[in-house]
Amino acid sequence: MKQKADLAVYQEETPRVGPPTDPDVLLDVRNLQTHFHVMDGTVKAVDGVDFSLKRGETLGIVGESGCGKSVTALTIMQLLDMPPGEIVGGEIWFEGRDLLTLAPEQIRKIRGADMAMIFQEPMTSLNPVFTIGDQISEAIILHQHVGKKEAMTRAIASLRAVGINAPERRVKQYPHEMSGGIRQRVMIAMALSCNPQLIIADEPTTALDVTIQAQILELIKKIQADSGAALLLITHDLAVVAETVQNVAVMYAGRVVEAGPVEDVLLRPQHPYTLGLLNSIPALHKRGRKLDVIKGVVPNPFRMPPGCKFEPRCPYAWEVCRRSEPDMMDTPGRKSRSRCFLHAAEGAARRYEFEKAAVATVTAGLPEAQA
Amino acid sequence: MTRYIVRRLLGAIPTLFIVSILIYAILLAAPGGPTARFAQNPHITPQSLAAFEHRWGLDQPWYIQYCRWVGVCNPNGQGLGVFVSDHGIPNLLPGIIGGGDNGVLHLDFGYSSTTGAPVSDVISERVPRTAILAGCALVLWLLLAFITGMLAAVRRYTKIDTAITLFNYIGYSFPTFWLGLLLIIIFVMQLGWFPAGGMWNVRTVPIFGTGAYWSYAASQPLAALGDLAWHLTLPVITLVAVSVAGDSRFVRAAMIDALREDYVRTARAKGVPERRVIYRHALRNALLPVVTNMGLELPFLFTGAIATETVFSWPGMGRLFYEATSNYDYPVLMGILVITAVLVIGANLLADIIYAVVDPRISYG
Repeated sequence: MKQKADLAVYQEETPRVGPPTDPDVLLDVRNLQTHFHVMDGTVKAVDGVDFSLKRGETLGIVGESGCGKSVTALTIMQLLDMPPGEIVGGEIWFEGRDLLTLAPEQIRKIRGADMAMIFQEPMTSLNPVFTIGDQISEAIILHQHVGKKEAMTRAIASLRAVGINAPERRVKQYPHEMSGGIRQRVMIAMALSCNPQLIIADEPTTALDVTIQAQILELIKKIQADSGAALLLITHDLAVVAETVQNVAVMYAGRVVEAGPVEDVLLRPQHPYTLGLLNSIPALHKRGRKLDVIKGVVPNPFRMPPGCKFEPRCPYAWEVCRRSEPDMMDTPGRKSRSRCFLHAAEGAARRYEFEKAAVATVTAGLPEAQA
Repeated sequence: MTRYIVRRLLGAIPTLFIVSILIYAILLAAPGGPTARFAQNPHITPQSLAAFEHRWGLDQPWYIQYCRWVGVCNPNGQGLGVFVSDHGIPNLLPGIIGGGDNGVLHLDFGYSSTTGAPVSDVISERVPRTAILAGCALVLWLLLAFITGMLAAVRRYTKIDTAITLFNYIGYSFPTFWLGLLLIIIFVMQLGWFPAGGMWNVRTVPIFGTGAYWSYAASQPLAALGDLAWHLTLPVITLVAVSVAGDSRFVRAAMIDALREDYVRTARAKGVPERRVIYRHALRNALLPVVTNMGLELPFLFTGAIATETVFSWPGMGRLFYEATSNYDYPVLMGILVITAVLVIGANLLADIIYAVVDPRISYG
């Protein structure tokens, strides 16, 4: 009996072969593993990440620094430096093709045209020695095979679409003549210029002033809705996730630990790590109290815990968590899935305590998420 | 831009003034002096030595000497009249409106104390010869520095990079004179492929730069050019081998820095082909530090090929400097130093101008 059950689990977890059956699925990432070979050994920055994104949908990936969310994005775009990076395994299905099996030249044709990326640092992400117009029209000329003049006209149009005043004048300017917010708008215009199916935004607001952050976020939401492109938003900011995306995946130590609709994940967290993240958000009702933090630090990448990667910091962990690592599990009555033994049969008895804490956290107020 | 250049040129005046004082002070402090070359000569009496010193104004106080050399003082004047030219106006004004005609200000560097020829003639005869050597070396050197530097940067940490690095370190560690001698031993003494020195074949070709040479070059251009190239080969190799190493490393470092920048990743994210990423996005940015560095090196190629020109008996500026030093030829020495200073300032200005052309962030209002 026991053996049979194991087999069933095994079959379920084996990566499906071939493109996703659902034609609406634009991006399907399966068991993605990206490692970095450095002096001291191998860092498994992304260690078995699965998620999928339908056309026109928005997905947020959250997690603290170093959890592998940016590396996941760069792996999808195939912008990693290899070496030291290496994509060890997995599949990235995008529009019916596995990106990991394509030749570099084919990837290059997809990059910028079908999937575009917005980076974190608008101050350094634009080339200082070329005009804005040059930089936007470069991609248009490359992918849409139009002349310089026509490309410039389209560049002006996309600058206008991201709300930049006097785009005819702006295209002749250099990046240093613009503020950070305007530069990020330029980056968004550049990403938009070839009407991509997928926009990956890697911490697009982190480097900006708070007042500008809201504007840029609104802009990203607007252009996503207008263009119908799917959005993969990478951030460490739960408030940004709550405002921007439909689905969210929480990453920890190179893996997705919880995934589901944003309201489920943020209002009914099913993983102790997600709960810890929600707990550590400063809020008005916590004024005067010491801020709750997740105790301990992110595990050393060279000495990962043998069982659950979150076990050393987890207040709900018991022996089974030290021994083996949980798979993603369905959660009762929710659409989200969680990588935690609390949702396995052996954790059922302990779940009550966790749920009590989760309810306490959420009902105490999470204004950003509820808004 | 024009205003900036004019401002920089005006700013060069005090610099040159200080440099001229330094040159004067250093040569004054150096052992020997203009009369040192007569010391071993038994036929020269103290009387004729005194006459020599009086003839060249060496019996004057140092500040009068300096002012005469610069051209502020009139050597014919007495007392305060030293500042007045023969035509009765300040001596430092141009000769054409009645100022003086002596001194560096009036492009009079004095007379060579060994040949008696005007220093300006001695130097201007040498300049084109050095320019040919330096020009050939510069073109080859820049080409090689960029090719090897970029190749090493793009293929960094591979065998190609290691090979270029190794080659550069070997080149960098060669002293110029030693490499020159080594090349002479191999390619001249053993193989006999190239001439040991000189700029032209003295038996078949007239002296370079004379009317006879140009008429020869006009009648037999291929033979003249071939002869020149034949003589150029070894000194150019020597100059390039040693100089290219440093710049190749410099280009490599600048390129690696540029290739790591966020905007290079942005370019790749746009789907720009890798060649275009390297040659357009990265190289344009890597040029900035390289231009500065080369602006500093340029003048030394023109005046500082002393060892190479000496080893290969190349009749240029570097060898002239060496000869002038050995002969205690102070006027020639000072002339070369002043020209070097002007070249350094000019090359720096040129580098700054190129800088502004390459980098839109720099504007010279």
